[in-house]
Amino acid sequence: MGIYILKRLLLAVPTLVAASIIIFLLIHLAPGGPVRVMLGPMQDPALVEKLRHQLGLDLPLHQQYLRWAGKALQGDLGISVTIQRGAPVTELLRQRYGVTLQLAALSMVIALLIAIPTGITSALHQNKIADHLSRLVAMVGVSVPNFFLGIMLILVLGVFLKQPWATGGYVPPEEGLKENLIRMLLPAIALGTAYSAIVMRMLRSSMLDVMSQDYVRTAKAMGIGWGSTVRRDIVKNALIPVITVIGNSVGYLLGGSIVTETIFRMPGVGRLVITGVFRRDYPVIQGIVLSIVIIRIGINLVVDILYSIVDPRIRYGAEGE
Amino acid sequence: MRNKLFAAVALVSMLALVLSACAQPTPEVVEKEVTKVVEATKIVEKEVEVEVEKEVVVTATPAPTPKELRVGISTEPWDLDPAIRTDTGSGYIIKNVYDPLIELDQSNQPTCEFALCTDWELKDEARTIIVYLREGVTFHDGSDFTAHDVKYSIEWQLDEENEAPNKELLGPIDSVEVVDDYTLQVNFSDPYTGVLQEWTRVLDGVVPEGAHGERSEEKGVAGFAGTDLSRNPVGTGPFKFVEWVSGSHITLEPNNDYWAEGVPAPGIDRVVFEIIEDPAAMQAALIGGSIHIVDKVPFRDFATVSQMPGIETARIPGIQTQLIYINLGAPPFGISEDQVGNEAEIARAKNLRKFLFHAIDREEIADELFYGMASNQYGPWYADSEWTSPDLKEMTLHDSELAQEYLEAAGPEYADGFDFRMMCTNAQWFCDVSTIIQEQLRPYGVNVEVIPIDKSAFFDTMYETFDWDTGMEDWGLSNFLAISWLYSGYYRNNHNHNHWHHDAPDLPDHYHPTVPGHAEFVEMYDQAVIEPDEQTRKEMVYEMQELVTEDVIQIDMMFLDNLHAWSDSVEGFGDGLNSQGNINLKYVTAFSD
Repeated sequence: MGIYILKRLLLAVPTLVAASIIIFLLIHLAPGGPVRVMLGPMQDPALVEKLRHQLGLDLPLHQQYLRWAGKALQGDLGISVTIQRGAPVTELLRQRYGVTLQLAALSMVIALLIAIPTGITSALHQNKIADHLSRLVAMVGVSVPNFFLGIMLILVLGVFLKQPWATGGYVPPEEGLKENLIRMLLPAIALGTAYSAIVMRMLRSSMLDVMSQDYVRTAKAMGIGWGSTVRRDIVKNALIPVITVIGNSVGYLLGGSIVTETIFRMPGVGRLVITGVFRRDYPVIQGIVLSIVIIRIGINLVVDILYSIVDPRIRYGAEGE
Repeated sequence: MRNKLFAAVALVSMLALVLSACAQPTPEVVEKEVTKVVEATKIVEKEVEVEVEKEVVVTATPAPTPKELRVGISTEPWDLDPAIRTDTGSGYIIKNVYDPLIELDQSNQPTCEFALCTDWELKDEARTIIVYLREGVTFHDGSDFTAHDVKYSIEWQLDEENEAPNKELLGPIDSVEVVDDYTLQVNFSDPYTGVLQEWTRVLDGVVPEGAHGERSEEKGVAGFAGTDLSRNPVGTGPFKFVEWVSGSHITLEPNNDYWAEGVPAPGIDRVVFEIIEDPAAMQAALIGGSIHIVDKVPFRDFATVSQMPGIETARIPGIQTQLIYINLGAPPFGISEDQVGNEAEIARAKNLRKFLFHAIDREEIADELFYGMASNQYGPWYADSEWTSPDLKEMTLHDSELAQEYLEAAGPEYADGFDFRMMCTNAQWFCDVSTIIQEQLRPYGVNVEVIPIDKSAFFDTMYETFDWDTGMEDWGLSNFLAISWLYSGYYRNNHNHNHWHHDAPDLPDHYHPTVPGHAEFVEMYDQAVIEPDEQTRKEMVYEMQELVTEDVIQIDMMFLDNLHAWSDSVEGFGDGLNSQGNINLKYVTAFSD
C-alpha cells in the first residue's frame, strides 16, 4: 500500500506541472488583462506600460510562467493584482476556502442524508410505490439545476415568507454557530439536492446488482437474518461504486459553489473565481485553479485507498500482482 | 423496519433543521455567572496573600442585538483613499467616512451643508478662492480639523510623484495659504471658474495632515499604488471605518463625536456594506429584509419593487451616459494612415458617421431596455442644461430619410449598405443595445456584427489597435461642468477613445493623425477653460459641443435614470439622493430594524 501511495504521489507531479502550464496559458492567452481593468476608462499609454512593467506582464510568457511556478513551489502563489492588491493569494484562498469547504461538507451531509436511506429503501422495495416515488424524486433532483433550486428557495422562503436568513448572506461560525448553520442551510440544500439524486440512483442500482448475487441468495437460503444480510453484505458491497461517485463529487461541489455562492451572497472561493475572472486577476485565478487540481488529485488518491479498505479483495501494484 | 426507521429519522432531522431556521430567534437565556475575585490582604507583621473566592451572581439581562444597517452594493470598492479613488464602489464608503470640503446639494449646486466649509469667497475673476472652515471638528483619530489639513489634502494631490488621478480638477493652483486655523486661501495662475463644482469631487474627503503616508505597491488595493488610507480610511465623517473583508463586506461604526446634530441617526450600532454582485440576489435580500438599502435597482424590476410593501423607491435623473465610441483611425467611419489629408475619404467617413447618428432610434432603445427611464442627449451634455447648445437642442435625432441621404452621400459602394462591427462589453445591457441597433440598421442594408467582449479586452482593442469600428459602453460623469466632460471625452490627444488625434509631439508612434478637427477643438478648450466671463465661456462651450456633434466624433446617446430602493425602516434616506447615485447616510434620521 505504501509503495502504491508513493507511486501515485509521484504520478501527481507531472499531472500538476501539465495542469499548471495549461492554466497559465489559458489565462494569459485570453484577450485583455488586469491593467485595463485597473485603469478603467483612464487609459494613458504611459501608465499602462508602467503598470504592465510593475506586474511583470511585459516579460515573455515563459519567463512569467517560470517566475510564477518557482514561487508556487515554495508555497507562494503570488499577490492579488486587482481584487485586493498586495494581498497574498494564499491568504485570500485561506479566507475563502473556509466558507466553500463548509458549504461543500454540509451539502455532502445533506446529500448523503437524503440519498442513503432513499437509495436503500428504493432498492429493497423495487418496483413498489416507495421505489417509484424515490426514483421520481431523484429524476427531478438531477434535472433541476442548483441555481434554479436556489433561486426558488430564496423566492419562496425569503421573498414570499419574508425570512431574512433565507435570502442569503454569510455569518462566520465565530460570530454564532447557530446563525452560521442557519444561513448555510439553503445553499447546502440547493447544492446537495442534485448530488443526492445522483448518489441515490447509484446506490439503488448497485444494491440491486448485489442483491442478485449468489452469495445473497445463499445467505437467504441459510436462514441468516435479512436485516443482517442487508447491512453486512449488501450495503457494504454496494457502497464501492458509490464511493467513486462521492470522490468525484468534490469537483461537482466546488464547481456548483460558484453559482450557489453568488446567489446566496457567500464569500467563498466560487465568488472569488468570478471576481478574479472579471477583474483579470491572474495570480488569483491561477491559484484557485491550481488548488482545485491539487484537491482533486488528493481526493482521487483517498478514494483509491478507501477502495481497498471497503473491499479487501482490491490490492494495488506489487501487492496485488 | 430498520430502514423505515432510518428514513424517518433522516426526514425528521431535515424538517427540524428547516423549522429551526424558520423559527424566531430564541431570547437570550439568563445565566448565572461565577466570577473569581482575587484579593490581596496586607498584614503588618507578615505579608500574606489570601485567595478568597467570592461568588458573584450576575443576573445578565439579554444583551441587545446590535442594530445593523445593511447596505447592498453591487461592486467592491477599490481604494478608500479619497485622493486616489476613481470608482463608484469606493465612493459609497468615502461619502460616509469622510466629509467633503464643499458638498453638492440635491440640485447639484455647491453648498456647505454637510461639508467642512462654512462659506467661501471667489475673488479676482476666480483667480483666488478663500474658504472659511468649520470649527470644532475632529478626525476619527482624535486630531482636530484645521486649515492645515485641507492644505495638505490639496498639496498631496498636486505632488506629481503621488500620481493622484483627479489632480487636474484642482485647477491651475499657484499657491495654497493658511490664513488662520479656519481660513484657507488658494491662488490660481488663471481664472478657475469651475472651482466650486470641481472641488466637490476632487476634495470629497479631507484627510488629516500626513495621513496618506507614501504611496507604495504594498499598500494599494487595485490599480494605482496605495497609501496608508487605502484600506484604513480616517476622516471626519459620521461613520468610522472598522473592517474590510474583501469579497464580502465593509463595516463602519457610528462616529458619536460627529459635529452635525442628530447625525449619525440614533439606533444605528453598525453599518455593513455587503458586496452583492448578483442583482437578483440583491433585490431578494431587500424584499426579504436582510438588506435595508440597495445601491441600484435593475430597470426591469423597478415597477415590481416599487409596489412592494415596506419598500420605498426613487427615480432620479442620473449621470451615466450611454455612448458609442467610433474608430476615427480606420475605415469605414474614420481614415487610415494613407488617407490622411484625402478630402474625399474624410467626407466619406463623416457621411457614414452622420448616417449612424440619424439612423439610430434612441426612443426605441430607451423604451425596450430601460422602460423609458432615460433621457436623450442632444450632444455631449444634459439636454435640460443651460450649458447645452440651444441649436443642438433643436436637432432632430432619429431621421431615417436624412440617414439614407448621408448613406448615399458616402459613395455608391455604400448606398445599398455596408458591414461594420460593434464591440460591446458583455456585462449589463450593452450588447442588448447593440442588438437593437443591429435591427434598426438592417433596413438600410447595413449589417452590424455585434461582438460581445470582456471589458479589459474592449479597452485593449480600443486603445492599442485600429482593428475595430464601433464600441458600445457607458461613462459616469462624476462632475457637473459641461466643460469638464468635453475635456474627459474629447480633449486628450495621446489616448483618445475614438482615436481622434492631431499631429503633435505628444502623439505616440502607434497612432496617426485622423479626421480633422482635433487640433481646433483643443485650442478652443484651452481658451474656454480660462475664460472668466460666464456668458462668453458658455458660448465657447456651445461651439465645442456643436463641433463634436456635427462631426460625430462619438455618439452620446442618453443618460439613464438612477433607480433607488430602501426599506421604510430607514427614515430620511431618500432626502439625500441626488443624480450622483450616492449612498449618503448623513440624511438618515431614524432607523428601526
